[in-house]
Amino acid sequence: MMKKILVVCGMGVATSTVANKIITDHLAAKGIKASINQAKITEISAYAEDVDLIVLMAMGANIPESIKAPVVKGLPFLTGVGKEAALNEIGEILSK
Amino acid sequence: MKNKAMDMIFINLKAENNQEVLTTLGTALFTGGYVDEGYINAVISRESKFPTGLNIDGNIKVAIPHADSCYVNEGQIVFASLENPVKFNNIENPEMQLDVNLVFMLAIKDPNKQAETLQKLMGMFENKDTLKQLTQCVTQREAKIILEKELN
Repeated sequence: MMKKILVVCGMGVATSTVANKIITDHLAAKGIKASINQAKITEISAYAEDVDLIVLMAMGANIPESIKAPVVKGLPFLTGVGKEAALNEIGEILSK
Repeated sequence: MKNKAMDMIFINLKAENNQEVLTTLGTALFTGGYVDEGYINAVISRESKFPTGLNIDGNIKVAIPHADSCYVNEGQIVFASLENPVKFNNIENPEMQLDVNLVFMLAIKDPNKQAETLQKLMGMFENKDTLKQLTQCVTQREAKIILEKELN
């Protein structure tokens, strides 16, 4: 079954777009198939129910306790620092 | 960047606080027709809830304020270097303040269409030499040359 990634940021338009593109390119290069959606942090409950992984761009935001999916911090996709490590972490979670 | 590019570049902008920066840059977007009248308040409100300060390194801190695309007519980026750093909260930890010296205000109409430009912008943040050059620009023209090279 295709794995599902949800990229969450404050507005669902800027930082999550960048992370989406970087992750999409990385997974394509690795031959990993996954679907990626973007959401605003305020909409997370509506989107996160059946996802395999959440990439969180808005660090101040709290993830509701009901959401059990693993969370990867998305800041490296904005600053470049730790980007490879974050991509590897995503790859590992998806391969489980 | 379009022919109105110079209106979208502020060099050594003087501001007391981040609201002043957001208002000045938002007004440039509004005057240029890129955003509607609700954008500025939306950006200020958003910045207080979900801050956008990025701690690039000890000397350079960037902010990327933006608002929902419903306020945007046409995609655009406004750049400002600040004469004196202004405090923005850290995207990573909203309780932490950063002395920001470069601001890129994003008007995003269609995230998919602007994904490449946004990715290039964030890619530029990995290049500290380029950011340092931007902090040192004294004319709009110098900044325009750097930004066009990096973002087009």
